[in-house]
Amino acid sequence: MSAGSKLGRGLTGLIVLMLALAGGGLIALSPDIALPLALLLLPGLVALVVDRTPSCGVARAIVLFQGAACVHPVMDAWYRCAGIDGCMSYLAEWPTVLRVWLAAAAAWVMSQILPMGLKVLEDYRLGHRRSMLIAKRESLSTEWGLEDQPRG
Amino acid sequence: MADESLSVLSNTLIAGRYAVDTAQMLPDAGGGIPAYLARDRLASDARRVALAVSRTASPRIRHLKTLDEPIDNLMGPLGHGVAPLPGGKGEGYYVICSPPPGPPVSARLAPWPEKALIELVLRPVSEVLEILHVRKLTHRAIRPNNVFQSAPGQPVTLGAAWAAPPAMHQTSVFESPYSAMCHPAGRGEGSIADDVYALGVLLLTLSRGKIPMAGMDDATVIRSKLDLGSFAALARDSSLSGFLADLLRVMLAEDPDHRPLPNQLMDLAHTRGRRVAARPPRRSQSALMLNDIAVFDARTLAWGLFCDQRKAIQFLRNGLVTQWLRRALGDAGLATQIEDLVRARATDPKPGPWSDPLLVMHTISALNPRMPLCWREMALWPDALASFLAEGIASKSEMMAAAEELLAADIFSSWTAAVGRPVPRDSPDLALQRQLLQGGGPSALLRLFYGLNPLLPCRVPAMGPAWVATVPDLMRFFEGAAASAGNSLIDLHIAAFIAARGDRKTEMQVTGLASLKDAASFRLAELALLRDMQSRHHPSAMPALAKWVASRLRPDLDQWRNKPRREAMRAQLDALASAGFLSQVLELVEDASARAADLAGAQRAANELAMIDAELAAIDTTDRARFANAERFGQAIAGGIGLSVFVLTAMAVLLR
Repeated sequence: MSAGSKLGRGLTGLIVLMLALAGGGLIALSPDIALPLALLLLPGLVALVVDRTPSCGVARAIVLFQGAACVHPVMDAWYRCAGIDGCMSYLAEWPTVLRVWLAAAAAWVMSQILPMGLKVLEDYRLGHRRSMLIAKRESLSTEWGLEDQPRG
Repeated sequence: MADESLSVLSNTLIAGRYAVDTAQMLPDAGGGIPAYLARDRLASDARRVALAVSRTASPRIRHLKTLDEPIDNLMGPLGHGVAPLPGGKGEGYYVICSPPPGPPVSARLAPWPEKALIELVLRPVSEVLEILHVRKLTHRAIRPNNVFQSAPGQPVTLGAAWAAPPAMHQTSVFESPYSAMCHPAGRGEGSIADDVYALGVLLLTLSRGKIPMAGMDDATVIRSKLDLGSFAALARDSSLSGFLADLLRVMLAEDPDHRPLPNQLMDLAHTRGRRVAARPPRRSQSALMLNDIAVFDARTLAWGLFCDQRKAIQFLRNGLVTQWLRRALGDAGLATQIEDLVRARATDPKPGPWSDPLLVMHTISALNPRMPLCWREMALWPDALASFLAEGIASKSEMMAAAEELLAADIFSSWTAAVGRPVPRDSPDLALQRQLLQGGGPSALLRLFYGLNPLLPCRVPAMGPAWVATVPDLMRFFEGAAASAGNSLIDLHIAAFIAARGDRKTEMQVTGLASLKDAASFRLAELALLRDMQSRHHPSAMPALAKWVASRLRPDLDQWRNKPRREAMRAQLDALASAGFLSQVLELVEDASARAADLAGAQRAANELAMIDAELAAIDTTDRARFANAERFGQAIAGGIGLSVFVLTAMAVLLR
């Protein structure tokens, strides 16, 4: 368990490091490409930095949703733009950025709501189980004269 | 209704045929014992006599069992049993006898001619005594108020002697001095020679028309007989014919062996020719004064020592007795014998509380071997132990302490060995009684009392006037007393009664019960004993007792863990108690396999409860961990959805 966690943390760090190196390399080599991409992927990058959840679950979801939202703009930019500057400017247009950022926001909202929903469902299940156990306990106590035994 | 009255009637009938009418007392029929009219229902309401048995004096069981055929000129026993007391206030025990033919001869005492004495008194009574003698029985109640005559010229009939211990109601005049000096309950069966003696006094009484030595107290009568000899003392102021004097002299001989047997009395020629060849006792010229008794011979000395034990010890220790024996009486052999006894007492390395009474007893026996066992100024014959003990238990006097000492210290054996008497075959087994006393615990004496007096009732005060003499009687008493009984029915006294009157198995159960100290174990053993007593001695239903047992067992039901089962058992217990059989009640509660199953079920339930508690505790305490899990799963799901969307979108774009 602890070994797995250490490995996960190491892998995450390595990914972040590789991404940082790639980002740094890209900025150094081609700032005109890096800036629109950075703008497009800004929520995911910020989430990767600030996320403190185990395995960076929130950041992972944001990145993946961003990725899914980037597929169409990237393909459009690839096929419809002329030159790298045209493509980058297409990607940096506000409808494209807004769509990707909204996808990231949806990912963040989903990563916040889903745990709460799961928790509510689990609480409901346990509440039902608890009432069943208490009823069975009452029945046993009454039948075998164990009323005076303290619970727990 | 008719059936009920018949049932009540049959319950009050003795031996199923004799009804006692306690409203009609027969004042002269019992020879001093309360007597009532009884009717024989199987003989056209023929008249019988019911003699009331005292609660403290046992009837003569051997006679009641042996005398099963009518004997001429004897009020023989016809039956015995329990019947209501006068006024219906409780129960009494009665001995049913054939009725007397007329009033007792004491009713109109007048001098009888010699021929009438021989033909109407001596012969018929001798015939009766001979029959008794052949059956190894004695009468021991020959006295004027217990000898009856239907009309002048008719032979007399001997009264009953079965409703009280032997010779208990005899006055000292009609007993030899060695029997008269005993406590009335301590005179014992004696021998037929004692009856011959009493018959001799009766003949003397009838020949004179008055009772000899009348007006004298017992001590004076006994002392006169010892001083002068019985014949001389009794016939002192009488003018007897030579024939009658010779006859009475042998009948009143001091030594029982010198008295004629009943069959010899029927042959008067033989009896008349019989001479008493006893050597006259050695007499001293100077008297030894023991209190107010002037002692001139060894017999009177023995009597004097018996009358005052403290003085006897004093005189023996300071040598006055041996000095008088040697110098005044001139009996050096006897003096040496007494000196040996005193010396043995003085050099006894471990003198006990019985040393002085033992010295007096042995001294008296040495001085006069005919004396009965003398112990602490009480005299008795060993075969009277049962009635002596009964009297002691009833009066709670020093008699009871004396009886206990006599048994515990084995005084009877010591006395018998010292006197050199052969132990009669039918005498009580004293060694066994001693063993019973030593091994019977705190109520051993009571146990012995009940064992030796099997017809006497239990003396527990709560039984009141009921005559509870057998275990079935006791079970009936328990049935009546159960409604108001406390925590226990069988106390030490009742336990002693049961041990004595029950069978061997019951006796062993009672012995085990007495050894239990723990209250719970005692309770269970008591209930088991009651169950066994019912199954063996009283097989009919006893609902009141069963309800009491059920109430005692109810705490046991509380130990059953399964509540529905417990409630069901309670209901079943009540139902079984109403049925009245203790075995079923106890069987329900003592079902070991069901009890084990209940315990195992309780254990399983406890384990299950612990598991439930653990799970509930886990539910209560793992909220934060569950939230963390939900967060992790939710994020993983979100990631999964994102990945799926990404892959699907990419595939949709790439494969377009």
